[in-house]
Amino acid sequence: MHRPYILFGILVILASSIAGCTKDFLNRSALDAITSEQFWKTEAQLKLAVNGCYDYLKGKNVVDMENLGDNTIYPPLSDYLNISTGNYDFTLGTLNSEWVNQYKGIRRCNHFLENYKKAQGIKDATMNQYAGEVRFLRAFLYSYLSFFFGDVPLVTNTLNIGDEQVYGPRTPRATVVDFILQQLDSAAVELPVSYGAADLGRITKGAALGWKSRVALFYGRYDVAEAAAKAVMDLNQYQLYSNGNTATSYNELFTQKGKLAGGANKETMLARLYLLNVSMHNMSREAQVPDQTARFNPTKSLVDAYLCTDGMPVEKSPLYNEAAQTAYGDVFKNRDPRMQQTILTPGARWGGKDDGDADANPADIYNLPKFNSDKKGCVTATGYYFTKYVDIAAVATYNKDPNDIHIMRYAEVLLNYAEAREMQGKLTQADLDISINLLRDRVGMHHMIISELNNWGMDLREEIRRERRIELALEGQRYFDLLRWKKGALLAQDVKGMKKAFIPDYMQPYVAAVPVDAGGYMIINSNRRFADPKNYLWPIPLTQVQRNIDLGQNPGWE
Amino acid sequence: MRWLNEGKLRVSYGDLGNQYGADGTAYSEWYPYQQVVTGVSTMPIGNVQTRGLAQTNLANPLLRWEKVNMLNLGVDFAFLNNRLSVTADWFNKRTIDIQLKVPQPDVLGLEVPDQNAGNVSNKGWEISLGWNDHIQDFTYGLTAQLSDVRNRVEDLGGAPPVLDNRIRQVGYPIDAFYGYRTDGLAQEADFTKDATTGALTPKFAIFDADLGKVAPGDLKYRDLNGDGKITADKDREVIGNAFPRYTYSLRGNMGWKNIDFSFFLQGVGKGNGYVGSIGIHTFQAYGSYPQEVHRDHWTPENTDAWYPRFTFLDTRNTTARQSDYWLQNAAYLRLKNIQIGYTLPSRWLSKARIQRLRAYVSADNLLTKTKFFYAYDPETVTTSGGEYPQIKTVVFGINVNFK
Repeated sequence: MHRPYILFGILVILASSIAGCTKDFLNRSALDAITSEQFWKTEAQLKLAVNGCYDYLKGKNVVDMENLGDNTIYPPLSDYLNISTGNYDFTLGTLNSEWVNQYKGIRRCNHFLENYKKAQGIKDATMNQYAGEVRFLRAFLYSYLSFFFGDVPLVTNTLNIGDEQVYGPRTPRATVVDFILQQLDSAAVELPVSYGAADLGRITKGAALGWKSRVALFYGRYDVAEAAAKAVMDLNQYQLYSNGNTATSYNELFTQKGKLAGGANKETMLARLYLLNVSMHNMSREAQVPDQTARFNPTKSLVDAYLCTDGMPVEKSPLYNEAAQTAYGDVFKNRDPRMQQTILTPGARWGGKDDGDADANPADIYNLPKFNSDKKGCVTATGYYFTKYVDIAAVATYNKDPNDIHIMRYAEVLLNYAEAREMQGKLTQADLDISINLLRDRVGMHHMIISELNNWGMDLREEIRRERRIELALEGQRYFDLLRWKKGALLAQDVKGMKKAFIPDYMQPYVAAVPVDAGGYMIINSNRRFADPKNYLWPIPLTQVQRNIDLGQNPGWE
Repeated sequence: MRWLNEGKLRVSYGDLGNQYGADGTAYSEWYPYQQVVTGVSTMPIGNVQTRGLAQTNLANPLLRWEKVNMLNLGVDFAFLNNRLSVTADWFNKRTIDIQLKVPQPDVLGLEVPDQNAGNVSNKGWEISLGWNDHIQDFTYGLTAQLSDVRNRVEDLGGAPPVLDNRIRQVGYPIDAFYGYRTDGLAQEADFTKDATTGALTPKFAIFDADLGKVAPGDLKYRDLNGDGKITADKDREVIGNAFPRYTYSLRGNMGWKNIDFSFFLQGVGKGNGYVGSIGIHTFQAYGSYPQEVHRDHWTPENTDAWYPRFTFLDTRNTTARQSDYWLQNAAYLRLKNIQIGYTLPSRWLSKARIQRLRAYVSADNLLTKTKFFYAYDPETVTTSGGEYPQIKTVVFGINVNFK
């Protein structure tokens, strides 16, 4: 008797609950994330959005890019080595990952710049600072894109599936560069000169100006580069790092003593900060890894580039007589003090355990290069190791190096200034004395004196370029410098190492298969090529060409 | 009709919703229809751990369920006193508005969302034949089954095909293997030798990036478009299908007095697979160790080798460059189970208050006949090693039922 009533009741409940369902019933708001509608409202949100953009500031990757040039080599295959040798094509993974990563960062920046003004009641100075930081980062990402690929799609707004721009063509490189420089100008106006400790690492006005000088120099806009560099110098905000000792100051900058958080470093203008147990890399270990081959092996080309203490190159200086050299250590004698602060010199401390001496015991002091892979010490491919960017304590650990990666230093701005002046034919001795000679004073090196160079038959432009190579070795700039100097042919040359005869007899069996050149120097890598204009740009990655045929291809890569 | 015991005609049609995408998993994002910002890692700012917020995935507010419509036609017959049974089916399963991540040019800058982008059809048939009979004390039965499914991408919603190692292209099975064609290993005769320097120049087309690296014992890739060089965009094609074709099985059972016996054979008639990375290669990466089979690698003395010449940290000859050389034949025949049992006569047991006692031996995966790469299972068609293999088991057992 009761049953029909129960059934009826259930039906009523069901019917009313169905009727209660509005159309939005199934469209639930995310519970584990913030929806776009809830975002872009408060200062705290904006700050978090700005912070998110910093994820795309390049880090250790900057140093790895040194493998693109002729200062260092890691012979087993790597994408950077392949690009350096010229033996690669548009399927190479790094091409696509660089493309994808820069555009991911650009999208994040565009998203911010499109929306940040929706927030209300925030101080103008704060709004400007946030916009300046993000604007800089976007320009930074476009700089690398245009350095690598030339023409690239210039996307300055957020895109959606179906937008025509997604399948758009590439924008001419000059237009992209104009955009970058203009954005850096805006950022320089918007950004503060410095920050309090809580904001350590944020982009500053100086960084925007300094980066502008680098980009302008790359594209031969020397007047712009000069003015931007001079503007940094006139900020009086930066000075070269020194601990008072010419024998260690330069090297120390790239150790934990030079970390921005320590406060002693007033030279670094832009860095990827690292923090122990939070964010770390593997740089020190890779330079002197105690049971494998070092990932960074200085080349003969770099070793030969260091001047002698008298300011003359090894080919000219009476302090250097190649024919009279009898031992490995002779190569390091009477050289620019930056050499032994960059390249590991016999007698120096190292973290690579067993070196190439007769025994197989770990040693704290380095004497000879090791070529036998017995897992007891760090093996070198060229006969040389780096000491720059090496923190000996971090060599023994894996991925626990908290040292900052210095993306731009005041030293570079001084070099940019000198080079930009020289390229315009305006360089004077006074210019050198407020730029390059400051770098030389830090390490106690003979000054660069124009009249002296003339007397010695040395080319001023070449010497400024040499100075840049020496000062910025292992900082990821060499490849880009070679490109803008149109010196790609240097990359086609064989990569060489030390003189084979300097290797002791007991170590000789391990280099028996390594060929030597006419002078007896080991040839580490050959069969390289560099075609002009082809290799001055990377090819557009296969993945991107397949997805958008209108991107076209760079010359020589079709 | 005395010869026909049963005759049945079946027609069924269904329309279903499906929220699981083409890869068989549910949404990779929880709220794929909604623009959200989530926590992202970033650089330590102010010398402390710092987090950021950002949008990382593009939302698709238009996302809907996939629709599956399935048409099935079937017949069931039983003949000759139910001794012979026949079942046949034909089906056409169409998945409409299938959820796919359609790759976009990366200037978009976000991970792409699922889109209802395209239709996939699975057409197939299935035949099953059964025979059950007895000859005095001897009873026996056999069931044979054969089926085939053809998977085909019918439409990609206008999106360009995805050309990677697995492709999605209209007219082909979904995620078909895509790669280079090869002509075996290069021999010394395939090179011209410079009389003075001794340098070898290949007579066959190579990748531009490989210049100066190609040597006898390397794979010879085929120049499909005949332009004199191998390129990733012009010299690849569909080389195989990961969907098994012609799956079959045979099940048998026999009994004589107290002895029973059964077996189950299963297999695939046609199919492809791919064993990659450290599963099949050696020395191409750190920690990729040689296997016994790598003894048969190319050397000037062993020119008809299976494996190319040994190179270190070099993937030019490996599955990293996907080619038909490494494509596996995933056809197989497997004795999935075989069992023999003996049931003790009940008169021996009644005193022990036992109703039934059966002793048996049963074995799984006892025999497999396949040309698939030796160490791996043809039922797992793509692997890079690291799969737990099918195991052979032999079980001795006793079933006891007490009264």
